[in-house]
Amino acid sequence: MKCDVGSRQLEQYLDGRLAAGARDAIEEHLVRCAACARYVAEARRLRSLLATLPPREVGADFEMRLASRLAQAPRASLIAAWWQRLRFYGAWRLMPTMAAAGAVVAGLLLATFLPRQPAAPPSPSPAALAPLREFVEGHQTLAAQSEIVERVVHLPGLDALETSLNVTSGLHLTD
Amino acid sequence: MSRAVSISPIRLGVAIAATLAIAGRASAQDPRELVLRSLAASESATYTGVQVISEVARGRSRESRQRVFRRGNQLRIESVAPSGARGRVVVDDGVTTRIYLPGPGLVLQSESRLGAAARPLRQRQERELRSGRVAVTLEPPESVAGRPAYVVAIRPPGPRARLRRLWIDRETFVLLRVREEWPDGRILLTEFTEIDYQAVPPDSAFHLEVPPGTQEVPALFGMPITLQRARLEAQRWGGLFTPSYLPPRFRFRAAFRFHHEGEPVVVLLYGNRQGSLSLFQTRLPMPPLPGGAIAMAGVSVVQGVRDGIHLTAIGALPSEELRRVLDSVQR
Repeated sequence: MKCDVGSRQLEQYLDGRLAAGARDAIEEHLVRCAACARYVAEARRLRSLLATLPPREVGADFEMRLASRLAQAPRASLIAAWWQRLRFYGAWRLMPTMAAAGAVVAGLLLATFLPRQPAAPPSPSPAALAPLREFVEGHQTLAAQSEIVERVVHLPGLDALETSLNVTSGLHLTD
Repeated sequence: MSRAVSISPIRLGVAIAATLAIAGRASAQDPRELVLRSLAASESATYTGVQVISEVARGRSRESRQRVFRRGNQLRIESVAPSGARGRVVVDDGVTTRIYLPGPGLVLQSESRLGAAARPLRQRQERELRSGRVAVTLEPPESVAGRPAYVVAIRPPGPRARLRRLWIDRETFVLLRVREEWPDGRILLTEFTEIDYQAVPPDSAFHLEVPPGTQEVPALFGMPITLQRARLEAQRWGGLFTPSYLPPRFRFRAAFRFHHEGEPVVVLLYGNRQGSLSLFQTRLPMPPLPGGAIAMAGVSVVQGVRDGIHLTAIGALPSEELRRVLDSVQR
């Protein structure tokens, strides 16, 4: 990315770890910076792919059992032992990183060969979105109530109740 | 030597009072001012009455009857007829409007029509009246429910506008009767057949009692309306836009009409068992989205403009699918 916003800030944005002001600033930046917008879109896609991978869990006594087995293992030659410790210890310590790296590689491979979703359009400024938020909130409420709504709309005489309410409230001249 | 002219205080008072009376009567005869005073009275009137709504459309007529209880910015409406509507109650306590529907066992909640939330709408009405865009004329006085009334005709511009006649109580400025006539011949008449300004409703009238187990649901856009009613509402902008393409097994569920920043908006709700989409249409300009689409709060939002009407489709669907729905709309 050739701009002032670093990947770390974008990752924090994706993690939802930015304060409101910083988040708004990033969203405004994404409107103008195609490279960052592409980065965010790709990262979102990768995260959603990684979320589909099965979790790997180890027991709470894993480290203790590991240390016990190490202590019981026969000593090899100095070099071999050193090498073995480095491999095992380093591998153990590096395991999360290696797992993540492996997942990233797997994710990239999947992303490469799976059908691509169209890139999400860049976001407009939050202030510009304000009028739409009511519509989106309203839609989500309607969607959650759609079966109730369908029951109500076919009740006879509802129009009259609405008319009475509007006329009596003095809201009958809206056109 | 000059002489100061002295005027008796009594004579001065009588002259001032006469001037004010003449000015008041002249103002009261201004039909625009009559309507504005009626709108103001609608925010704070007190009475108990019986109201009848008669609708004539396509040679068929329907009638409904309500009891109306009003005290300041509080309102109660009880459906009396037809029998299928009996038991329905609306209570507006100045903060919330709650509509009890005994059949489905529901209470629909929305913002008060008498409170601050309705202020933008009231201001818009006043602006329209004062703007001169709407023709307002005074007609010969009549009587409604035994009350003498001014009669005022209101006609907004344009061939699609509906004509309204208002019968306004000469003393209280309460709206006694409204007659609305659409270009297609549909007529809606709302009138008080009885009204008593001395019958002040008690506090209990503005508490909504419902049976246990009644479900309360938010009605952000008010009560749902039929597609036919939505077509009527959209006549003001030349007709309702409906999609000719819908995602598989999606069908029309309901429509709504509400106001956003004082401007009417019609929403059409479509869906199947798995999902829903909403199609908003309004004359109110919406902020343009880059590429005409955005993802927000887990849904896609797609925009378009057709004949000056701003269309917004929202749903948990790919934006390409929503775009296809939006592009297929026609009147």
